Amino acid sequence: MTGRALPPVPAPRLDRRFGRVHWLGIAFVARRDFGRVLNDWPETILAPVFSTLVYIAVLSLALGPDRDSPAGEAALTFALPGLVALALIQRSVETTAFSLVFDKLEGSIADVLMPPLSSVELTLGYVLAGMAAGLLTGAIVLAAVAVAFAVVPAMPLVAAAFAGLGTIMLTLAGIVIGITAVKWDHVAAWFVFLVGPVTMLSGVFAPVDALPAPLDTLMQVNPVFYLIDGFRAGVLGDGAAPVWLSLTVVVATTAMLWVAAVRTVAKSPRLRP
Amino acid sequence: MNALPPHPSATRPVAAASMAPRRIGRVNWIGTGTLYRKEVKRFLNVFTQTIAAPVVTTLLFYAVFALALGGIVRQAGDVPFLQFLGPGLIMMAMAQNAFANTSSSVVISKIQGNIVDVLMPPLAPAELAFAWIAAGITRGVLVGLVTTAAILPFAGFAVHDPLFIAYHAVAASMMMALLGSIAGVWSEKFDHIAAVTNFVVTPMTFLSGTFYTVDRLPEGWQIAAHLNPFFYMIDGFRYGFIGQSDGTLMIGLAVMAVCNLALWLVLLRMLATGYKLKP
Repeated sequence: MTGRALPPVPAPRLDRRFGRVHWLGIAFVARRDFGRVLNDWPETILAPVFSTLVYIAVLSLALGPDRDSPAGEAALTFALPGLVALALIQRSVETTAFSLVFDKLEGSIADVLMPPLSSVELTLGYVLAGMAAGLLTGAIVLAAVAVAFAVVPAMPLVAAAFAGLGTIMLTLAGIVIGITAVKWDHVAAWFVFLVGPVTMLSGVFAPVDALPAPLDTLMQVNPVFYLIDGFRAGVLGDGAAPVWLSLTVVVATTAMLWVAAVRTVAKSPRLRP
Repeated sequence: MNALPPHPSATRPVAAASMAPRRIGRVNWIGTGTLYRKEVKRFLNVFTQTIAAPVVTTLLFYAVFALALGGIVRQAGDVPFLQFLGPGLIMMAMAQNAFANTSSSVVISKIQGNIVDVLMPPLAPAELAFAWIAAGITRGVLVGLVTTAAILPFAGFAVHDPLFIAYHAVAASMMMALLGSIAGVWSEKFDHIAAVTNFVVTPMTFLSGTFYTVDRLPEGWQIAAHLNPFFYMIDGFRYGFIGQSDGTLMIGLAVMAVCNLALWLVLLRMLATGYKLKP
């Protein structure tokens, strides 16, 4: 008996090809991480905007009657761009670090480790998400400040460049923190003892020449100082350091952190035990 | 017939007696003490987060606001601005940490399910609340002591009236621990308690006179400031150091006492009815 010949089954394409760069995978990592930020918007978007406004209110109320004096006005105007930059970079570093630690503790980190993504691609995915989160928060804070205080960026391109680079720089730091930290206590320690001081003591609130002796030198070796100063130059039209110097420092720091982050993603036993 | 000797177990009355229910007097001291010790150990276990971190954050705020405002606002009333700022920041740290202690403990227990560990034992609402609040006060006062030691070399303020310092330290920690317990019982997930912390506790501790004297506020805000219990706790505590106050001191003492009593009754009512605790 001759059976009817079954039609040939097409061989499954196990080797789905992607080009030199796995764009789809990068987009997946970025969307997944940014989606979390959007899901949690009261904490991730609203809270930073609100606390920035609280800082501004504190400064403004503490200046009180001095607010209208030239010195008072200068102090407030000086702090505004700094606070916008602070909200932006804190969002970036938190987004990535928290997300990575959460995934590691929940085991869902496998979602990004199993797909065929190289370390560079994985890092890039996280960077895109951190950028999007930081820029979104920063844009909302900037809009609020612009409306309330009639501050319009003097050099929008410079401001945008430093905002973009700042989010990349801090997201990369967040990747290193998120992978190195084994539990929430470690993340909290990183944030309280390193990220907090480095970001807050970076000329957000007061000009560098107002500082006493050891602190001013300390601030001038802090790359976040150049980041904030460059952003402030973009908003107010004038910074403490020349824009080219700030740009060089920020680009160099970002490049070094990029290498560190990719190496951590590739090699860290805390990511792939 | 020879009677068999009694079985050895029958001659051990001790064993039988130990099976009787343990009598608890009017107050379950053992239970309350155990829960208190557990709550204190909970935060001492992670002291870098619960004691060291607030100290670093407070010093950071001190540096930042001293730098931003020190050059312009030199005096707050009759004292130098930096001396004025120190006690306010200490109180802010105490308040935030007393709140964080009870709120995080209750919410985490609720979400992880181990809240039954405190609901099942024979603890009356007042005993349960007392242990929580006492642990919150312990954290607040501990943070206050460490922060004072850290900030004193920079701020250089003296002690004017230790009784006011002690009263307001304990009363403020108690008020915040009570608020934290109430908020913790009310919260159903971490987002809720995070929202209360971000949108109520932090702004209230920031905007209630930590950084400025009330006379610097616009007219309408001055009245609002005098209706705010947070203002009295900061003002009275600071009076203990610098000997200068914005509000009436006696009203401050009374406001703190009344707020604590009211919040205590609210918390007891919540625990007695099982609001959001016993479905």
